[in-house]
Amino acid sequence: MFMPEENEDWTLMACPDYEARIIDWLDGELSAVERQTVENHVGACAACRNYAEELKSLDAVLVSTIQRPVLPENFKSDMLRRVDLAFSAQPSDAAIAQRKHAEEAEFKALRAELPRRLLRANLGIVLDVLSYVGIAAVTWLLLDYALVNAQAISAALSNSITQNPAQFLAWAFSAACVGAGLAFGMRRIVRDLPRLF
Amino acid sequence: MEHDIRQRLDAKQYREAFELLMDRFQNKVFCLAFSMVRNETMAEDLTQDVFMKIWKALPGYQGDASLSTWIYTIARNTCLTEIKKRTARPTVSFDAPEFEDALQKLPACQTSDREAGAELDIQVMLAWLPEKYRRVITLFYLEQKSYEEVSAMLGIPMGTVKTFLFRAKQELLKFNRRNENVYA
Repeated sequence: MFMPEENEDWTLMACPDYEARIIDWLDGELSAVERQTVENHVGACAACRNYAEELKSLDAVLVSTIQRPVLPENFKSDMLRRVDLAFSAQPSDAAIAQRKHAEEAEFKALRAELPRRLLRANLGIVLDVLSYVGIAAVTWLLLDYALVNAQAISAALSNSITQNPAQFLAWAFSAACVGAGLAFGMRRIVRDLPRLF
Repeated sequence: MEHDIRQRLDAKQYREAFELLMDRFQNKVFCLAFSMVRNETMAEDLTQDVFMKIWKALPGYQGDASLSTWIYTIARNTCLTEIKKRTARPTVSFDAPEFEDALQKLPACQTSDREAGAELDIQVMLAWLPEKYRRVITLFYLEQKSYEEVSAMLGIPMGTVKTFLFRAKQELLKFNRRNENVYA
């Protein structure tokens, strides 16, 4: 079977003035006067008569081909059952009112609690900032002391290593603990400061 | 025609109004869906969806448009949404419902029955027509050749229905002539 190509030039099927009118005539859409005019023309014009015959054949094939589809007999009852199920699944007005009341109560409770929550959240932030400032101050003081007394510390360490190794180990352990604490604190600052601002 | 339904809607008797609606419009909606999706099973499912939507929207129906216009609009939009969904996933399978009808017609094609062959030809010709022409011509023959009904169901002016129908028939005739020339 071949398909017509788009914009293909076809020979005229009937007289251009009558093409649409013949269809209306066959569909019974014309007034008595127009019907008579078309019938006279079709009687006299072979091309239009042929066109009308073709249309009649096409109409017969379309009538027999395009059959009205039929819904199943139980379509309506099934549909009504679905509707009833959907309707029964819907909450009643009393249930809706009760739920609305509960949600309003919950909202009021949350609103009453809001200042306390805000205070707690802000207090946490203040304490965080204080702790960060404290860590920074201790770090600064230790570094400052170490730089100012570098020679004395170096001499004390040398003496300690040679004369009292146990004391040196105790100092080294203490310094390592303080260093680790400061490093941990600095890590928190680096991690949390962007979140605060 | 809609007076009794509107009375029930005014009295908030939605269940009764819905039953009357179904009696009057279920076949129309089914035909409209069928003309748009060209598959009975799918048209039936869509008809169910349309009536579920109508049921849910019934209490909100304001009566600005006529009931039939309102229902046909819901039906058209539901079908168009389904068509869009199908276009969005154009996978083709022989299990797909749109092939059922065609497969059912294959035995008729294998026989030398001239009439069955002609019917298959016309199905192919209809499938070849542009969508808007096909909808109009299908609905025209499903609705006992009523221009008014086709116009109301598709939501297009009656003049447009006539034009589309004229062009559809012209295309089908051209198609038919060409095939006759090829097989002659």
